[in-house]
Amino acid sequence: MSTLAQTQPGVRKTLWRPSNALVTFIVFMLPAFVLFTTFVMLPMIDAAHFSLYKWSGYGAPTDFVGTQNFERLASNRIFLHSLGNSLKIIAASMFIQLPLALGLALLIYEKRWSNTVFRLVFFLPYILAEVASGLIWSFIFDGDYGLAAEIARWLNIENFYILANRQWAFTAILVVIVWKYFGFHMMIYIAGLQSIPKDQIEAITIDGAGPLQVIRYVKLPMLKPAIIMSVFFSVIGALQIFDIIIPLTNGGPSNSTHTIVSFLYTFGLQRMNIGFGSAVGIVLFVCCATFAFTYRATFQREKGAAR
Amino acid sequence: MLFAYFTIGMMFPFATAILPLFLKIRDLGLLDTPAGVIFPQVAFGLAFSMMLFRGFFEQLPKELFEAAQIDGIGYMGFFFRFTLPLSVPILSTVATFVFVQSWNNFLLPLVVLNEQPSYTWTLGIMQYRGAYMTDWSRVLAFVTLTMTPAIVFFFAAQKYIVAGLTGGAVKG
Repeated sequence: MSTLAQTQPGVRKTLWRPSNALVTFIVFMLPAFVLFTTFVMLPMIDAAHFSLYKWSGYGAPTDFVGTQNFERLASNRIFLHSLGNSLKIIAASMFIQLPLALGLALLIYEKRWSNTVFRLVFFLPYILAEVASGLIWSFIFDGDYGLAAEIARWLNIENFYILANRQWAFTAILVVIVWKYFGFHMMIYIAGLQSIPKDQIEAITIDGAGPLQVIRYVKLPMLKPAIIMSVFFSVIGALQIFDIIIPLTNGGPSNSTHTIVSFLYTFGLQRMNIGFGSAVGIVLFVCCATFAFTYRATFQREKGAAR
Repeated sequence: MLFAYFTIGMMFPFATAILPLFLKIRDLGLLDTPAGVIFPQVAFGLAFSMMLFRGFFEQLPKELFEAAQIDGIGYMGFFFRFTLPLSVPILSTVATFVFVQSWNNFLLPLVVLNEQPSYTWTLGIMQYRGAYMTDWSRVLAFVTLTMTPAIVFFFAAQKYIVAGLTGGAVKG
């Protein structure tokens, strides 16, 4: 009796399993696979191909120029400046945004009613559209009607137009970027902090550790995966900043506030320089891919060594 | 293997492919149509959503699937009867992220939609801004109006967000 009961399901399993698995696979996988290949993978490959041509996008690309587009980029002052701006965004994310997010997360990670309110308020900028945030901040920075005008009147100084100032416009943009994304990183840290077992904190407290020592010896080490993760997101995200530039400065004054992507849009797409624009895209891709792979490699090696 | 193929998409910045994508959409005749925005939006959102889902599904107890198999339930049946009902938290998380991203997207509509009738609100608001340069109260009214859906959606799903990030993303 018992042997029969055991074999029967096994027999049935081998009967339905292969075809069923195949059908499931096709139903669940095929649409995603087709969409992803058509609209993500193929355009990526095309970009590498087009970057070797001088092409307006009409007819077939015939004007093969080799690496000329890349050489033009390397000597383009606006492009080099926008690369520098992207690096500034990375620096601001690392040294201002992440510590700020970490500090706030440590303050409000515990599950309490008031903390939930704070958490939602801090997360709100992240779910706002970049375009909307850009407009709100360009109102704040507006030297005639905005908050900046109000402050100038209050301090009794002349109106200033920070977004039209070559020297300060990008700093203003950095402020907006930090404001916009710190909530996301804070959430990652909160999630990490909430998963720390309570008894670890209790144990070290009983041994006489103060709150700062708890942070130094328990919370920060336990947060390491979260920090690794949030650094990854902030670098990849920083390289792709675009939406927020357009409503704030649109790349100006005199092209001083472009990022890599806004440079690509302005000088590649708007002027239909397909080859040149694709070359910018490839540079961006190489930056992201190099970072992603080296970062993953170091991180994984570390994980292996820890074991 | 297949998952690795999709995660490559997450590391590839969307902007890299924007020019070939524009040409592709033009050649397919999808410029100025909703489909021209929808398909690429879905395709580029896949990797992130899959990562979150996968993190969650990996945590479902294996015994559940084995038990269902012994009772003669196939993959499909298992998916609809067990996986889906258990996935409400992660579905809410992914839905929130996907909703907010689609609602707020600017670059893709900017490239694909050129005719005013097909504009999404992000394009409309920039045009509105151009028309009312100094009339901030109008522009800010527009901003407030368009913030509302994202915020309502977020508040409805907010209790799942932290959980979703822990389960899917932070595990690394």
